[in-house]
Amino acid sequence: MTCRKGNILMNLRSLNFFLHETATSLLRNGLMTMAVVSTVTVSLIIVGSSLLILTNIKALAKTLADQVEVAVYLREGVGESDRTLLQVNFLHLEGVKEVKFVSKEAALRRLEKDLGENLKEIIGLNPLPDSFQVKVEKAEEIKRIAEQIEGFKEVEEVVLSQEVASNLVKVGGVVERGTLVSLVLLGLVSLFLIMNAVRLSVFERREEIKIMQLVGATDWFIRWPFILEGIFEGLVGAALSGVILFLSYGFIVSQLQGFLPFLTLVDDKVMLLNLAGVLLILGMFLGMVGSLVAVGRYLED
Amino acid sequence: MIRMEDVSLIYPNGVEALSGINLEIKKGEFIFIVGPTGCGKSSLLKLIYWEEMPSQGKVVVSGKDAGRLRAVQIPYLRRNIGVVFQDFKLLPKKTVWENVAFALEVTGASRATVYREVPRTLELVELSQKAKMYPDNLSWGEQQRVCVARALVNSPSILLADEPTGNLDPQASRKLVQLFLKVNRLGSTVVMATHNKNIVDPVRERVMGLKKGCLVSDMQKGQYPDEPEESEFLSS
Repeated sequence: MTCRKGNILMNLRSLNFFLHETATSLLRNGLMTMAVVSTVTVSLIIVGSSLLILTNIKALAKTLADQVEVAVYLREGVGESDRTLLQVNFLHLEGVKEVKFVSKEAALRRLEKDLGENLKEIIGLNPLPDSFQVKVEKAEEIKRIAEQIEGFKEVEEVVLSQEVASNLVKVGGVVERGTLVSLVLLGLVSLFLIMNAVRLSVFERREEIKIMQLVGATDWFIRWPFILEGIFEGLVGAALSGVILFLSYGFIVSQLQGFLPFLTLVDDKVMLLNLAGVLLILGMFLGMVGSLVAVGRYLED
Repeated sequence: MIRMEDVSLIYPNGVEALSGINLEIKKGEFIFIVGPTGCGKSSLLKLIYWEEMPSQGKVVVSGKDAGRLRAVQIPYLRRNIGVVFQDFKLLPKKTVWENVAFALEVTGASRATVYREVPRTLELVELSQKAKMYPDNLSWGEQQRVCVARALVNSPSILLADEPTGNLDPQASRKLVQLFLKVNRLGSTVVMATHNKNIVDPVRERVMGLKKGCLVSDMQKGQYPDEPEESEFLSS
């Protein structure tokens, strides 16, 4: 009991000592602290920007995908029961999200509304066929689905109503994959930059580590202040990058939407806060691991 | 307290620093290790505080055989050994007070102990007035004394000093040796490496001579041919 109490006291004393050591060391090695913090800030701004770009590309791809649909025009004389069967068959095709029937009357009304003319009176008959609007889950599958639909004998013609959108989605897919690859690469570069900055700051003090060992400090007694410093530097750098991204993203979104009103950008405060959270955890983790690895190296020497 | 049996030390670059060393230092002894620069004095001390491990032979300090020691045990054992390093090895970003306190803090000493022992030790080496200064702002002699204070603050059972008078004038050297003798009388075993004959002769303690890594002489206390009643060196 007494022993455990003694250990707790010792640990609290050590914690107090480590926090004090960390604070004084951060201040006394001010230049190095600033170097690490600014490296973390810049690196995480790069990572954060990439994540924001990726999020927007994903959102854009989803918007475009929603607009992609197949217009399926039916032959004259397809009865109601065949139509219902067709609708069920289309729905069972792989990748089909929604099938909506548009009767020839409804199509004419829509056209008349668009043109502002009473076409039936002018032409004397309704030239439009019955049709289905088929929405797909993935825009890149639209061609395959259209070809399958064309195979039905009741189908007169299949029109990809948003071919342009479909192409955009394809480009979007490539961009998305490209961004993802860049993000991974940038993440690795940032990781390297942060680790290197922390490593340099520890390298500066390798002699101190040696001296601490010689006066009887255990390896963990030496490690803790360095780890806490790494965590602090990582957190401060991440917080700064979060604030900079938060402010600049809001500004960029408002500016871009002024110039390009058709461009729908993600403007979600919760998403930005989540991103800030991810950056904080990343900064803290990298600072900690960087210190741990660097100190470990000099402890072994 | 310290025993070496047929010890040799060869550095990774192939230099043989010590060879065939056999010695025994008893608890409470005061020993001078003398010899020219490069004869292996520092290497011998490094074996005692486990900075180096013997390439061959057996080194036993405070009952612990270096060959059977696990790395995690070394920090705890070092706390019983105070070392005055030739190059001081002070922490440059810590003040005089913090450098001395650090040796206590690593042991998990309470704040009260730190605040009791550090001023006392600084007083002992006459550095109380410079407690808040950084090592870089001190003279060589003063840095030397900070190093001495750090070595003494834990009341170590063994005190090792590597050329501690190398940067001091004769008067300061005499005062330092007097301090070490006092520490020795309080129960610590003191091993001091030096090439300064002027401080060795008047003290008349045990002297071991090293030459090219080999122990060439071992003159026990009381074996001096013209032993005076009391050393003037001590009473001055």
